[in-house]
Amino acid sequence: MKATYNWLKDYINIEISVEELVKKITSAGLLVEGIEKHGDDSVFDIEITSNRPDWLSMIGIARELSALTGQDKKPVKIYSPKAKDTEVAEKPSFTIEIEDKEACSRYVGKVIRDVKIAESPDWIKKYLEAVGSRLVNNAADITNFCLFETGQPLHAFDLDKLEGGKLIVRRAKKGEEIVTIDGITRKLDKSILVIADAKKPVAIAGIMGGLGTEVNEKTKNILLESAYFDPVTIRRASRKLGVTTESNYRFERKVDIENVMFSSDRAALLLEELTGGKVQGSTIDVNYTQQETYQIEMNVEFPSKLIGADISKKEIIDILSALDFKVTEDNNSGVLKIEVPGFRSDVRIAEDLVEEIIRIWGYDRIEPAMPAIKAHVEPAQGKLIEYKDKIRQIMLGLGLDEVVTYTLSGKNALIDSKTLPEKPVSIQNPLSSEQEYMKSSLLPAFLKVINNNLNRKIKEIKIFELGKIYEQVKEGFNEREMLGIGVCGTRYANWQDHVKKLEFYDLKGLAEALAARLGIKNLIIKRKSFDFFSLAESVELYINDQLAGCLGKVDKKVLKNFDISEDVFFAQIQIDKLVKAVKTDYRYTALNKYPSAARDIALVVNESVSCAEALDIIKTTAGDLAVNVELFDVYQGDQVPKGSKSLAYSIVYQSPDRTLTDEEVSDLHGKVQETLLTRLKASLR
Amino acid sequence: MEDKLINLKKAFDEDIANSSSRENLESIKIKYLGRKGAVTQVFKELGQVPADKKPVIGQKINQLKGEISQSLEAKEKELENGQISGSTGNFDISLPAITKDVGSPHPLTIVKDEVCSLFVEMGFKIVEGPEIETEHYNFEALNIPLEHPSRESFDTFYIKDKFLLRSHTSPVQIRVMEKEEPPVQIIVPGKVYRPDAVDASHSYMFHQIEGLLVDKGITFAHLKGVLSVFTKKLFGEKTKTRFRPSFFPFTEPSAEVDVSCFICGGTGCSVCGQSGWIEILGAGMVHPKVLKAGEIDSKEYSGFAFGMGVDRIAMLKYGINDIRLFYENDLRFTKQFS
Repeated sequence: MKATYNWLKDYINIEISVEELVKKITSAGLLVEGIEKHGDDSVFDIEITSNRPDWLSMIGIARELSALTGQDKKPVKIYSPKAKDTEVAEKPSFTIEIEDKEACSRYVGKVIRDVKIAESPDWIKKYLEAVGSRLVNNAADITNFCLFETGQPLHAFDLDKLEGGKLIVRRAKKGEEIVTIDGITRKLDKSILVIADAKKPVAIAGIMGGLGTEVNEKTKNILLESAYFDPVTIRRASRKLGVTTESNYRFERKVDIENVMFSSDRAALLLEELTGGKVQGSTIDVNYTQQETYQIEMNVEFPSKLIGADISKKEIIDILSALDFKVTEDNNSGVLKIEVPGFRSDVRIAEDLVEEIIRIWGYDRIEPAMPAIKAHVEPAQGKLIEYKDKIRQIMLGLGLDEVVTYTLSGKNALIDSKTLPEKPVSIQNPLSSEQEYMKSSLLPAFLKVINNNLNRKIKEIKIFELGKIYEQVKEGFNEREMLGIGVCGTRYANWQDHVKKLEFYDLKGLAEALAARLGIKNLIIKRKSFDFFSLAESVELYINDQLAGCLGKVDKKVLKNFDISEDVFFAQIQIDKLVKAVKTDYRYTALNKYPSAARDIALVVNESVSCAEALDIIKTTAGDLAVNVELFDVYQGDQVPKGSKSLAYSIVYQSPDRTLTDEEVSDLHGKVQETLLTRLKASLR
Repeated sequence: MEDKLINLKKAFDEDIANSSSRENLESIKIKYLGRKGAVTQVFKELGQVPADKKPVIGQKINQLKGEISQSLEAKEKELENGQISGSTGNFDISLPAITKDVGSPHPLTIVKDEVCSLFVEMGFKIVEGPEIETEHYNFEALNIPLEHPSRESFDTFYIKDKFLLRSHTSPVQIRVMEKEEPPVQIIVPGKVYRPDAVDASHSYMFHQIEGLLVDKGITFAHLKGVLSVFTKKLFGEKTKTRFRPSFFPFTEPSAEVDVSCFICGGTGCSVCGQSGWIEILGAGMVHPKVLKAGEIDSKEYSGFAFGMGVDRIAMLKYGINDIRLFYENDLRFTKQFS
């Protein structure tokens, strides 16, 4: 909303500077977003909240200034039929009907005859130009002037172009069209309210007039419209047509039904003064029932209680009165009866009144205070939130960078990453094809991040995200908190160690390190194929025998779809499964004080034998006495027969309650060796 | 023979001076003191020395052997300590460190954590809520009726039926009030969604932090108190806070909260649009209808609520001029916040 300093001064005696005025109205809730010079005037660009349609007018802002400065408002001159008794007696030469009475609760029409259409006088031109309104001619400019002045949109028809001597407010019929004053032909339907003459629509109600009945230099007689249109009807029509005007902007926010006549009378006066025309007959006023006044009771102590400041009864009464509320006190009972003016339909409860009072009293006068804070019985956050933060810290500690990716995804990305579920969660009104679905896996977003970074020549990409994935379930939707991990590129990029590609075992190591740090002992992987992983390097993660996620090497075809030529390893783990398995009840076991003995063993086995098989045999054979078993070498090559590989383990033997003799250790180790050789059909290397 | 011993000593001194590793030292030891070493050799040659000179030469050889052993031992110690006494050798301290990977947190999480922990210090409890919400929690319960102009500023992604992607974190207020008896004192971080075309200052997904305190006797002065403490802690002790009347359907009275510009200190710059103030929070006293939706008696209890945009604060705080940078995850960007 634009307002100017000089224009406002037409309605209030103010002597304050532009800066002071800006400061004052800003403090009352009219945020001035910009000030521009326009000739000798200053134009304010003011942000008006959607609850204050009354501020979409000079008179409304002047009312605020009056309350803020204590200065009196100046009266605004209007057309008064009483002075012209003879004309009032005359019946109007025109009829107005309302078909849709819900959509139009009041329609006021005035016939003005013998107008001389010309340019507007300078003072109107200056004001309208300052607020950015297009200049047309004196009659049209007056309607625009009154819109800005009173907040009530008006429209002037060329009376002689209206066919059949009447106007009808009705829904448009299917197939009807209208060319609006901007020259555009608009298709209408029954969701759109129109003003029609006997034959055709002549205006889109509350939005824009028709070109055919527009007032121009040839116009002799005018029909002046001032009406109340239903906000919802106007909003829907404006959305449907894709048009926003100063007029529909105000109707949508609700105009004051009482102001409809005032505004009509104001425009009539100006039309008589500036175009030389005369109002003919009495004013037509259709479908109007006077609104009941709205009353609120409020205890005088309530504002002070809600605000935490001392606001006196006198201050309350003075402020509300200045804002045109009528305040009466109920026999010193401490209860005030407050009558809300018609233009303040946003004020309905005592809390609304409190805002009115402190807006003017001054938000800045309220002394800050601290509430008494009760000691917590519960922790400051739930376990899930607490552990999400811990997991995040662990991942950062493990050297991964945190990412935040979009929740929505295009269908293609889900198909390309082979993560499109049977029942994806789709968005009804996406703005682009990139927003069709909610993601069901962190993988597609991760691949995009990895691709972006590879394109920027980043060689080592190790990322994680704590994010949600979404799925449809019977009773609605499920949101699951996930930890995603993605690695790609090289590790050990330093001058001492060799550059090495990140691989499956790096990712497995990260998952195990996380589990270890959380005290989770029971993280197990099981081979399982996923469409988006390569067949060989694809596993499920189990925590305490519960499926908790997946881990693997991303399938080559999937990578190709994302334009990635490097190997990518990805894991996704359910946070709730991690949190459930977190161990916090540690118990100390006595430290072993007996010596340990280490023995190595190098086996040559068939290449199909897994490390875990050998490990399992060692552990079951040696029992508790093998306190540590470590694989220290895996070899495949010229030194061993084709089709076989060498596994080398270091086994530490130790008893918790005595010193093992050399002989005992040798016996046990011999047994382990024997079992390995027979069970795995292995030989010693 | 005596000359031979002198030369031997000379050669040894030279060798040991040039020795820089333990392996090398070991070979010097073998060269001089080993079974076939030079010193052993001269002992063997002692037999050929005239008998009268034997005791003197023999003593000299022993003395030489002692000296050699001693300096080998000393040298060995030096090498163990990793330095040659009186010299730094050629140890290059400027070679790059063998780096340990350090992960970088995302700037949005840094700000979220910082904000949340400031409120936790003031006794607030962190709570989260679902992102897929119902119209009831996202709108009606928050006094945003259908077809009300206020609903316009909350353009929303719809899923199906009454389900939608929440357009603000405020629904969590209702969910918590329904479940808990006052005092309710929560801080709610989370993702929110609005169908905005993506550009440098708009993102269809962004992050909010919401606060709510409901108890007996809670006033607007308390709201000012808590938020003034918060803004000082987040933006610095000198930060001034300004409350301006505003409108939100779920609070009454409502306020926009500005802080004095932390770039220019309030004198006016491009960041604050020359006004000296930066808009940071929306706040107000919880609307009685909202308390009612949360099954709390507004005659007995009152409360305040506030909300802020994490992305916006992070952009202001770190001088980031494009919101898309948060979601592109260029690691060169992320690494700046480690």
